[in-house]
Amino acid sequence: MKKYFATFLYIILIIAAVVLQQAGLNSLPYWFSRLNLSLLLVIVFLFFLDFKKVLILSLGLGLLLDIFSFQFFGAYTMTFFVTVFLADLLLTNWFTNRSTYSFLALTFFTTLFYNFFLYFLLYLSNFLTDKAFFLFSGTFWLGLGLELLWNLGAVFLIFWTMSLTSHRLKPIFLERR
Amino acid sequence: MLMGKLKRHFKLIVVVGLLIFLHYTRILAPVERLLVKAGQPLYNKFYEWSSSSRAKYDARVNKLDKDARISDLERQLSELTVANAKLQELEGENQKLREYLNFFDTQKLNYLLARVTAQENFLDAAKYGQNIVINRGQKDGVVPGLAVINSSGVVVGKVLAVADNSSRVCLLTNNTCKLAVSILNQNRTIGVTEGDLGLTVKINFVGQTEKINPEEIVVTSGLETSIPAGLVVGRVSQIDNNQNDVWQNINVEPLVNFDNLGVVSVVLP
Repeated sequence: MKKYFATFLYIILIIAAVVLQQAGLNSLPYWFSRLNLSLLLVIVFLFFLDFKKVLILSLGLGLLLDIFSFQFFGAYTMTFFVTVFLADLLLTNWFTNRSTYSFLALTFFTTLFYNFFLYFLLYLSNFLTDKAFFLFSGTFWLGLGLELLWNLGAVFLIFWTMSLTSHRLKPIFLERR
Repeated sequence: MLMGKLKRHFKLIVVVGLLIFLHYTRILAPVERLLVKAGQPLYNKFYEWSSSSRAKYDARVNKLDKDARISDLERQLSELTVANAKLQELEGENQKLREYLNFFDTQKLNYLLARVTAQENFLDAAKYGQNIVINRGQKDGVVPGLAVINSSGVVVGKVLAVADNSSRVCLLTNNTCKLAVSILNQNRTIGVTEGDLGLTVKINFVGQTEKINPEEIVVTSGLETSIPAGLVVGRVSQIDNNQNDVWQNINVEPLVNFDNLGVVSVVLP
């Protein structure tokens, strides 16, 4: 029963993230629209669920984003798939302790990789119409900076809230004894 | 290690590949349609909340300009009142002439009301908010290339791509959104509009010999078969006619607030 409830909860979370991202956050003024909710959800999942579950959930997330968006089908699914593999690699090899710093570093690298990979795929799909390569655009870097800022801020907030209620995570700032 | 993980999840990779393949062969289409249809009310609610938040934010930001804007609008209102009186006179005259010539009204357009469900957002700030998604698609008779107007009949953009129950519309300020237009000057100069950095609209391919004045109205020219002539696009705001260039650079101020689009109409052919 508990298992079914958890599955149901994950599905609701995924749908809510996709709808809130595409219909809600995307239409806010530019400065506030750069929070990547779907990616944040995947990062949080990575810390609490096993790899297979995270992979399935992120693929569901990618598929939903693909269905509701007008980009070429598979762009989000492929990006999430590759990003989750990379994030897991970082998590198991480098950021092994559950501390704020590992949480933040993981967010930083996955946000960078996710955007580079996604925009590279989108660039390839619009190769004939896109005038300039996205990496040469200053506004792309501005957007990426903003997204990093929002994501890191949100992750810090999530970690801080969770550390208040759970002892599974290390405290945010180490205490001198 | 990575290869090992990939091998272990090979089945999942195959399933994903299969799903993408099924999408392109349109076997998944009924499921996708159902999901989009079921999700649209949620999208509408979130979009309404989001666009009203943006409107409030914009209002706060623009508060300082309000006084100047009011006096500007008052000036425009008095000018428009005069123009309206002239137009009413012309309409009466036109009506009489039509009766004489036994003309029938040709400007009866078919509209299809649509709700804006989302706004496309890219990381690149220059591409922010240049496309919207509406809840009408192929099933409602929407095809790429149709004009989309707001409640006042002013052109908002053009349908770029259609799915079964939704369409992607490029706004006039989008660099890739091109529209055949005509300027209401003496020669009825024709040209093609193109978005400029997501902020304004410019007209290309207007020769140096054409005489264009600021404040002249820009309408659709009717040269695109799926877009009727005479739909208002905007007003000429700036003309840059450097004699060394082949074409004049004309900036057009759109008459639509792109941040406040809730319901739009697709003009059917």
